[in-house]
Amino acid sequence: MIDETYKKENMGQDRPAGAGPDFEVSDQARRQAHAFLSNYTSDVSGVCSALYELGGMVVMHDPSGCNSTYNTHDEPRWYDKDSLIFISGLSQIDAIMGNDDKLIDDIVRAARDLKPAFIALVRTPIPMMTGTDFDAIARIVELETGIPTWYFPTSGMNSYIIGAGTALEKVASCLVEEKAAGPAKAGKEEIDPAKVGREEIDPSRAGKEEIDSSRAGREDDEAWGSGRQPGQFLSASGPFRVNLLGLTPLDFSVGSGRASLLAWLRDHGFIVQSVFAMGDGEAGDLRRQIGSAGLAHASLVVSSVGLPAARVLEKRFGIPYVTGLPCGQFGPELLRALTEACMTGSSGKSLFAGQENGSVSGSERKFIIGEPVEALSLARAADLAGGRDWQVICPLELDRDLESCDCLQISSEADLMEILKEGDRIVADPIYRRICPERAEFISWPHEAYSGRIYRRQIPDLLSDFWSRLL
Amino acid sequence: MLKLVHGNKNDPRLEPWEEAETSVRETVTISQAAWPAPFRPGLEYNSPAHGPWNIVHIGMLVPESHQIYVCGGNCNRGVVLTAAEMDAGDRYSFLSLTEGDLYGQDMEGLVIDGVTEIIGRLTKVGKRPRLLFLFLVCVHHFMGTDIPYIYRVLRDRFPDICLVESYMDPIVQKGGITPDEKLRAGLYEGLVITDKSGRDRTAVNIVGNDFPTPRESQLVTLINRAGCQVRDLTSCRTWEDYQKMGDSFLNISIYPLARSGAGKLSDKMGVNHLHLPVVFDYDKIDQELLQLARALDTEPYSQDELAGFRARCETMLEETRDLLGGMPLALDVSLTPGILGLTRLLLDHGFKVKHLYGDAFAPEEEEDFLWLKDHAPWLPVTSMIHHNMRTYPRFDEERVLALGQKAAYFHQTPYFVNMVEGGGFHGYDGICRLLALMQEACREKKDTRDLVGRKGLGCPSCLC
Repeated sequence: MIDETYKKENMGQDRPAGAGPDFEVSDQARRQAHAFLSNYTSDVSGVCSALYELGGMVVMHDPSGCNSTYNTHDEPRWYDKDSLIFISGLSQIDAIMGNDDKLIDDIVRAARDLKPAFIALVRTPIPMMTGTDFDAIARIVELETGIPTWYFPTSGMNSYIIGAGTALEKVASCLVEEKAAGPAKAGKEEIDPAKVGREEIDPSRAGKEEIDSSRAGREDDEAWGSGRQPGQFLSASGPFRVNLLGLTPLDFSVGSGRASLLAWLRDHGFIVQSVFAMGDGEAGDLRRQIGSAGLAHASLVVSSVGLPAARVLEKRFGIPYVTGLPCGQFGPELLRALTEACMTGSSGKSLFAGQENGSVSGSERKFIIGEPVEALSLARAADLAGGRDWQVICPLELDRDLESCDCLQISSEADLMEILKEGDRIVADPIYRRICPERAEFISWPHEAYSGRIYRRQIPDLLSDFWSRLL
Repeated sequence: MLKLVHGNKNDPRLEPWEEAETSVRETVTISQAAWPAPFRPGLEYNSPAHGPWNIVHIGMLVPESHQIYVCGGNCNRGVVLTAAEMDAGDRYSFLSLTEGDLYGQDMEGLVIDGVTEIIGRLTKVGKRPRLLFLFLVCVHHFMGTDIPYIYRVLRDRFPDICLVESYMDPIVQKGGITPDEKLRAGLYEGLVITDKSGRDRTAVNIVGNDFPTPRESQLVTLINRAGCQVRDLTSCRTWEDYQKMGDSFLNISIYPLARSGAGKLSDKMGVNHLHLPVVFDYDKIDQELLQLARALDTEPYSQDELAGFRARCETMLEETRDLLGGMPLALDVSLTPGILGLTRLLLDHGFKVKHLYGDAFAPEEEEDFLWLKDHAPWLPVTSMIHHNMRTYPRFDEERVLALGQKAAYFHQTPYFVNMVEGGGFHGYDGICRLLALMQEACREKKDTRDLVGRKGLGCPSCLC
């Protein structure tokens, strides 16, 4: 309670605008303070988003609010597509006294009613603090229901990159069937040079030269990027099959992004083996498709959250992976790398490694803020078309595969304000405009995982000509 | 009400009918329903109907105020985007917590420095607030954070800013006061209270509501007839408007969650407090209006006037029933805190009530609950958060008129009254207004999907 005399003497007095803080603050507080910005979808929602269409039941062990936050701001499918995502309704007394029986009973009761394909337990801050033994709870639930039960040690304090990444990693570990292991495990042996130009591979369309990486893409990028017919790049058993990893509405929303990616692959002769993890049908269909991911020749990772799953598929089935989004002229480069991966069974070098962005050879300072795979792909597309020197800024956790990329990892508002004040052109979610200099050209790139549904209708399909706005 | 949903109510006095077992299923007839929470707590579903206000919406009512939340990213996301969606992102800030902070040594120092930093940044851009809601969260309770120390230091540092102790701590709401109730009390912390001799005898506050009470209502009309004006946070546009509320001589609360805060405010101001909840029983409305007249020291409504109000309600009830022509109704508790009273009124007047949605009912509605048990024992009561509601068939072969967003969602009907928390309606006027909305809803289809998904009905919305 505020003392009334104190209020009369002090409060409501005008303070001159522009007066700065009078107190020293710790560097930690300075970095964690956000006066103007938003924050990204958290790990908790990331798990839910990644598992949404797989027919499981996700339980956030949380008092209240997590599900409302998730389904309002992070989940565009909530209204139209049912998914078994719940909170436990944790109470203070149960958190303190450790009444895990209630949680277990509630999960078992719901599982008997709803019969999910799997159960996922998702941790939130309070159970993390109280040390809830989720491993034990998961084992008990699994024993009582006979349903595979997973536990995700989220905290609600990391971003969706961690949550969705971990969830898709689990999917790659547990839902992809071992017996489905196919051609990729055989690697190069699958391609019989003797057959090239004779049987499955039509010599007029896919001769040896196209396997020659030293040539491909250097002399005839155009040929790699367009004009190909389905089935052009063939393995001994037919067109190459590709897993599409890292596709969630958090990075691609529910516009045309998914369809464009599938079309791009199909237009270039690939068969889409599986999509982790957005479908267009029933949950069971997507789960079955994912179950056969081991049959793929390669994986295309289109956002950071697909990378942990890609590594699992590589380890389990020898499936190589390539990372990037086919934006503009980066498309042919990516196509070449993906085809090589299919043919050689090797992931090869990251297309972003060693790529230098924003080295400021020109006079303009140009920044792209966003999810790193998308942002790096855009920067690369612009670079290839002559729009050089875009510096990628990632305010999220960087996957280890991306650590060598030219990408500044900055999540602090204070640090962002410092660097952006020099910016001449900035591509970012509209909420970042609040801290950009007025003189800078701001190119709006809404991101569902940042501003939620506010600008959903303006979220661009990155396979469209959006990249050309960076020129 | 939330605390009742989760079954932690400790009430030693139980009537036989109160001992009815909570249902493990999602639907129960009212004759079998336990009071006041019919369903056994379990995993909770959250429907996409988001019209009811949350703490961000409520706090934004105070002019020239700012909100700072100290929490992890997941807890923050729902509130930061609430502010952004209502185009009030410039009145919202946060201090993000990391896992390490939960095990660190100096949460107090982090909060103090973080808030200091934010105030500094706001000041630099000319947005230093006059009132600051500083929201601490569940983890601060569990860490044993020295919360009084934080506020003491910050008040010393920023004596020109009214710092309001605020909480987003849903983990405690199941056994105590909800964050919503706490904030409704905190809304008036910034008032500079005058001494009793300075009371403005021509001003009455309506406190803790989200919607203004219509001028034509019997409640406001009576206040005006007594020579008084209504002061209401929902109509304050400036700090000065807000401060005037500190001078009023009477506080009225209508919304149940405003009651405890209104009582505290009245104690602090040294003025009377009247709680005049939304009721749908004519006699109770008369009692409330009489109470108000006495508090205002003015002539109450005459018997003729009251009879006229009743007659108008009866006429509108008849008109509406005829217009509906037997169209079934589905109601949910988010529509009005007096949902059982409304259900009773409608059934008593020959409306075809098909379905009632709710997980807990307000203690004041006990009498109406008993009436419904006796007079409409077949009435299905359905949970809105039971796990089976995720896959509950959301269609209805019949053309249903829904009263409330959640009922509209569960029946997927375009015919619905889009109202939450009573809409500010009160008394006879409130009944007539609601009936007018029912008539409109019956005649005109609404875009259910678009409307129910918007947060904070009545607040600005940036969603297009």
